[in-house]
Amino acid sequence: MTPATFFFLLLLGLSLLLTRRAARRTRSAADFYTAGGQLPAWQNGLALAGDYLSAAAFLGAIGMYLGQGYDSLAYAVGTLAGWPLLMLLLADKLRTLGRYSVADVLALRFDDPRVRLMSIISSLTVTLFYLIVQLVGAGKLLQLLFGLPYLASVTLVVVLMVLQVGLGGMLATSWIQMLKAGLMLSCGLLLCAGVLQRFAYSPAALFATVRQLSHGQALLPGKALADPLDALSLGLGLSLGLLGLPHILMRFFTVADGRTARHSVGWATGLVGLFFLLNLFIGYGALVLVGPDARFHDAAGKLLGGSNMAALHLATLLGGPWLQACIAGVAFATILAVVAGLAMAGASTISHDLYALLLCRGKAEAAREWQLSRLATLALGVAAIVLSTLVQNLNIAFLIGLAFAIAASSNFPVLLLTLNWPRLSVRGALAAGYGGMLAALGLIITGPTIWVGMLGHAQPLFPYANPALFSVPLAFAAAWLGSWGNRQTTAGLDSAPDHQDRTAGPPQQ
Amino acid sequence: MKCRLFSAHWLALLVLAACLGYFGLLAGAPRLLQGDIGGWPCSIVLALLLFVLFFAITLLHIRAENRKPPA
Repeated sequence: MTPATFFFLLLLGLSLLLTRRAARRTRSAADFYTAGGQLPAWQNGLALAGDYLSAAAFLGAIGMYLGQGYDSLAYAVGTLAGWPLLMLLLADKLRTLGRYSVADVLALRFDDPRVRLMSIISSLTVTLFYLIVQLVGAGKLLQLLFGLPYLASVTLVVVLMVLQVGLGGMLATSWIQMLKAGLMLSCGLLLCAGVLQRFAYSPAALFATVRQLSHGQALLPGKALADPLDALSLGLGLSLGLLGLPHILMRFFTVADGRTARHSVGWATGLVGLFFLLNLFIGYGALVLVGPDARFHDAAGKLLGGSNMAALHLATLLGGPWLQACIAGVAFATILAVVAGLAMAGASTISHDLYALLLCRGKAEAAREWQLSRLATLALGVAAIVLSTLVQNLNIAFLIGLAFAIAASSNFPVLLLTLNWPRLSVRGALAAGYGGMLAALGLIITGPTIWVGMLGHAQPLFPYANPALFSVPLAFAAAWLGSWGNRQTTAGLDSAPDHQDRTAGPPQQ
Repeated sequence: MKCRLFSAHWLALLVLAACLGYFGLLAGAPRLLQGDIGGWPCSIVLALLLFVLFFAITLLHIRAENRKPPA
């Protein structure tokens, strides 16, 4: 048995064991959606960090240090800014007012099916785009790591995802996120220590070597960050995108109260920040140790397996095949955990938001809703296999940008205004939700990534690659215009009669 | 007396301003990030200071909310 197979089977067995234990403890819809709503802050913080740190944040970020140097750190700053914003603007109120999902909060404020439908469309779009990208990445990564064919790799991930979410619900998903986050941090510490050991534990010596090798270029922002408006738009999109991601937002319903929700974000901010700090040393370590090493490059000078393999090559260099296999196993666990978190968010949107809240107007039978959520997980899995297989050979990295842009431009403005602006009307909420979504979609399609890069036009209609600087203010303006002159504004949520912990009670209609 | 500067919305504005200011600086004046402090490049020191700022604001808000009497 090769080291890679050993770690792969070990993590596979561990995830199935956790699923089995979680399935035994999942006995109601509340258990399924919120893991019983009693996770302690440190566990939920670890799971939040796990939900956020995808394979792109690990393998992708280290590959980016190798290719684009400092830009990778700029991405880390933008995404880390989202965590305090999440706590300051949303976490507390979301936990206090929601029950299973963000749609509960909207339903509490607006007894209007159109607002729920808008929230469902927006959440499902973000989740599905994110899921497709993760699955395509998973298929290609498992192909590279373990030599499995693409379809077999994707099917394996989806089968495990359906088992985890369908049987163990949020509890299994949370445990696997915690396991994966712990493993990622441990591997990050190992690689970081290995890199620093080569430089007598002196970061200054590492940076001096980077400066010497790249003539200082790798320590300064690259051409991708040269346009001020595009750079500002990227920063805004990275930070606000987090505040609209359904699989992150639904984590606030797994804790008992607003205080625990805040503490969870504190843990998550610290853990994500620590991981980004480790990535800094690992990434620059890969640049100076893997970059010039001919063993890791083909005849054309390209990195073997592509830039995503930089961390694995570094692991081989520092610790041999066992460390490389360990990192590969953690990459597999990362993919599995993020995909399960997304499936959980998608299933709850279908069974709770669409079926229970929209179609049954909040009067659905709990057992039937729970049953439907399992079927929804299966359906999402099948749809994700089909879609990810269809687009496997296209460059679909833009879908992540699109998911973030829609999350920042549609989900976030509607949620923020619903929680904080008493004058927001149904019309305003619809204008912000659909306006932000269409603006993000339109600006990305007409921007350089798709209009020039994929459709082959000479010039983009919209000159910037990142739309958030334009689409987010547009969504807020649409909300203001939609609510202007409308006398039938709803009361703010602070004046709702049931403004307290809603774990036990059904959502107000 | 309560200090409004520590209210959630002000802190959120501070985080957003710091993040956008950083990206603006990267694009508008990257030469300001050349040089180093004790062997650490200025660009990296600035990014790490922002890490610390974001974490400190998170902790500050948690502490302030924990001290509030229950409603």
